[in-house]
Parts: sequence; structure tokens; C-alpha cells
Amino acid sequence: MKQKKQSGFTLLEIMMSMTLTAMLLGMLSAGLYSVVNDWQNETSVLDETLDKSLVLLQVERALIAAFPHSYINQDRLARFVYFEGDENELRWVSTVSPQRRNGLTAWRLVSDIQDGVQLTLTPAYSDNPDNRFDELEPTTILENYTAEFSYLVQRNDDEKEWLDEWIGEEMQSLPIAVYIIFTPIDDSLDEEVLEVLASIRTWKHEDIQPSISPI
Amino acid sequence: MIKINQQGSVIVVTLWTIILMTILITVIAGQIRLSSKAAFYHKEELTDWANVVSAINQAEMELMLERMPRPPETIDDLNDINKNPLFRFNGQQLELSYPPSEGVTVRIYDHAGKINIREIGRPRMRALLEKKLGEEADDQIDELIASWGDWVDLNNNAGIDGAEAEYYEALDNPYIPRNGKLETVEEILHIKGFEEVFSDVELASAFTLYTDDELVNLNLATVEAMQLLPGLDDELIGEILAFRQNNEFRGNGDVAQIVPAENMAELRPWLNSRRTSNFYTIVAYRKLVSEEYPFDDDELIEVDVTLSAFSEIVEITSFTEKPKILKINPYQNIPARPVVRIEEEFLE
Repeated sequence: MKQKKQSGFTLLEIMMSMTLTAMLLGMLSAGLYSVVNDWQNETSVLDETLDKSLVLLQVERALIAAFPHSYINQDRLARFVYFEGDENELRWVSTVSPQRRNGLTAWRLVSDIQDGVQLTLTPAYSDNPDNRFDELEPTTILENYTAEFSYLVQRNDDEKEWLDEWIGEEMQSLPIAVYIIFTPIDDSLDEEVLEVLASIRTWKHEDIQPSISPI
Repeated sequence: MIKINQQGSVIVVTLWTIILMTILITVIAGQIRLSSKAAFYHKEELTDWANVVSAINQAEMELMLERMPRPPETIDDLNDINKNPLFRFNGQQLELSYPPSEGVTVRIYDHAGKINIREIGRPRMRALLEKKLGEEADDQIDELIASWGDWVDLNNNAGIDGAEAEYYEALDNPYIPRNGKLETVEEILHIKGFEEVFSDVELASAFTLYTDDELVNLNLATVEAMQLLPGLDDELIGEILAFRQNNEFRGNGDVAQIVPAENMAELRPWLNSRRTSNFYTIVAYRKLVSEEYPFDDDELIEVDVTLSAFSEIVEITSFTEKPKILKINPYQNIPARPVVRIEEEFLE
């Protein structure tokens, strides 16, 4: 009979087991919490880099797919190849459009010290797309970055040179490559410098002869 | 006896811990899976891109090799081949001399198999439009042809029924007409009235700008071009494709064996079965899904399901010179192309 009475828990036993359980669970969840936190930080960095690299990929492919689009300049009554660029801005015509639209799309990338790198897209149709750009609202594609563009010109068979300006109406062709360097505006965000180097194999217009001085 | 009771509390603690840990681990695992999937697809996309671009280069090389003189000892072998090797650039799946990475499909289209929209004259344009719209749409066709004429002529004076800057500048999205040669085949959609006529045509497959004349070689013709050609319907196109598998059209006589006389009368002026060109569209893509299903009881059809492919238009002039690249489109829509496999009894 005495033995049967002993079969319950004493208060002390219950207290001890509860404390032990609480301690164990506490330690476990604290450990797991920190792991989850770390993981989330890691993945948000990964997601951000993925986003950025997608932007870079699109820009790169749109440049690879540049097309020597020509238009008539109504003032000079002559036909010119469209590709305009300086250090802070680049405008070109590409077969790529983010909506996979049929036909040619004109791209404009502008680097702004306040708003970052901005993109505007418009159909190229058969004329100079410049007028259409200004009516459209640009989209910011890289918020905390400025861009600097340079253009590779092929002067002779073996003479190439990087320029910081490209005027389609003078060159009557496209550069054979474009180099873009994206630099973070705010260094404190710990973001890397990004680069795009795209070669343009379609740099010559079908009929219009390039007018590149051989210097 | 106390020992037994203590074992009970250990089980409670253990079970609780296991349940908690399982929940937490599942949550973390779910997140890991998601991000690693994103990273994996991204990586795979980049690998595919690299493979496809290198396949394009290998295809360019193949076209240059084709222009190389053959070593004398292989000329005898050539006589055994009853098909012109150049006719394999008809858009069929190719096996290259330097094979591309596994899973990448390469097709080359000779532009002699497309309709030249730049060289085509008014009567032929009329014939195409009559086939597309029906002969009763005479007024509409007159208008289309006049607008097309105004688009490509150098002046800015609208002809009767035509359209020049005045019309295009009054549109909701105004633009200035070309007044010169078309630069891309897709440009015809910008001409007044053409968008509704050709919106359902895969223009890049049906038309070209580059060949010397407006004739089409049926050995190389794309399905889209044949669908537009007067005198051909889907049934005849199917028979032409089947014939092409193992034979070649050596002249209009061979075509006449498939195409009945009254259709042949419309078709004959468009044909040149010997002609090839220096202009090619190279298409490369990673096959996403390939389905095989029976068709018409006798044939098995294999369809590459793919949304877009890397394509470029090249001009190849010799085997010593790099090809001239005329247009690159990394996301060209290519129509799902049924590969007709005919079982042997059907051939007999």
C-alpha cells in the first residue's frame, strides 16, 4: 500500500522538471532565433543582388541586341544612324523590349546623382525616337547608383579607342562595344561597384557607310 | 518506482522539444529552398545563355565551313548524297560539325526560303494580299498597296488611297514614315492598315529583306512563307514538308507532282528551286519541353515548346571572312515547329 502512494509526483519533482524543460526550450529557441535571423539577413542580400544582376543582364542584352536604326533628319534632309551617348546618358535602339514587344524599342539610360539610374523605353517606329522620350515618365532601375558610359570605336583593323561620347549623326555607325560602370552614390550602404561590358556585333548599318576618322 | 515516473517526464520534455524543433526546421528549410531555387534558376539561366551563344558561334562556323572547297577525296562520296547539302539549312534541327552543348537546339534558315518584302513588286504584293484577305476585298487591297508604296518611296507626297506623314502624325502615337527601304520586317506593321492584316503572321519567319529577288525555294521555304504563297494550303504544305524529308525539288516539275495544276499556275511565278542565298537566320535555344503525340494516325509529331530563342541574321560571303551580323534578337519568338516523323509504311 505504501508503494502505491509513492507513484505520484512530489511538488519538488514537478518544479524541477518544469524548470529544466523551460531552460532547455529557452536555450533552443534562442539559438534557433539567431540562426533564422542570420539566414534572413543573408537571403535578403542574395535577393537584392539577384535583382541587381537581373537589371544588369537586361541592359547588357539590350545592348548586345542593338540595331543600327536609321531615321531622316527633317532639317538636314538626310538619313542618320541612331545611337547617342555621353558620359551620363545613353540612347539606342534595340530589338529587345522587356515586354517582348515585336519590333524595335528605343532605350534611354540616364544617370542622375539624386535619383539613381533611370530607364525610359519607347517604340522606335521608323523615325528619331528622341521626341517621344521626354513625354514619358522614367523608371528608376538602380536607386543608389550613378552610371558612366564609354564607347569603343574601331578606327582601323587593329586600332581601337575608348571614347566618352558618341554622336550617331557624325559616326553614322554604332560603337563596337559599350562599357558601363555603376558606382554607388551612398558609400555607407556597403554596395559594390557594378560593370557591364557589351559588344555590339551589329555596329554597321546595312547601307550607310560609317564615317569614322582613322586618326 | 520513482525512476519510472522520471522517465515519463523525460518523454514529455523530449516530445515537446522534437515538435518545436520540427516546426522551426521546416520553416527554415522552406526559406532555404526558396532562395536556393532562385539562385539555382538564375545560375541555370546564365549557363543556358552561354551555351546558346556558343552554339550560335558554332553555327556561324558551320556556314563558313560550308563555303570551303571540299577535299578532293570526298567528292566521290558527295555524289552519293542525293540532296544538296545547302538545303539542310531549311530550319530543321541541325547536327553541326562542332556539336553544341547538350540540350541546345540549333536551326538555320536560308533566306532563300522566305519572301523578300523589299524586292517584291506591286503585282506580287497584290497576290499575297488577295490570298490573305480574299479577292473581294479589292478596295482594301488597293489602299494597302498605296500606303505601302508611300511608305517606301522617297518622297512625302501621298498617292491616291495612300498615306504619308500627315496621316501618321495624326495618330495617337504619332511617328514619321520611313520614306526609304524597310529596315526590319516587323516595320511593315507600322504601315497604315497592315497591322490588322499581318498581326497573326510570324513576320520574321515569313519575310526577308536581304535576298536578290522575290523568288522562294521550296526546298528551304519556311511554313510561314508557304502559308502566304498563293496556291498553297495547309494540306499541300504538309505534303511538301513530307517530300522534303528525303528528297529535293530539282525544278518545277517535281513541285507539280505534289501541287495540282490550277494551284501550280498561281505558284509557279514564285518558285526557284535551285536558288540559295548568302543570308541566314541562325536560331539557337535550349529545349524546354518536347512533346510527342500521334497525329493523323500515321505520323508522330514532335513539338518543341519554347517561348523565345536567340536568333541572328548573318551574311556569309566566304570562308575566310567573318560573317556580317545584320540583326540580333536574343528573344525572338519562334513558332512551335512540328517535326513530322513519318512512319515507313506511310512513305510507301
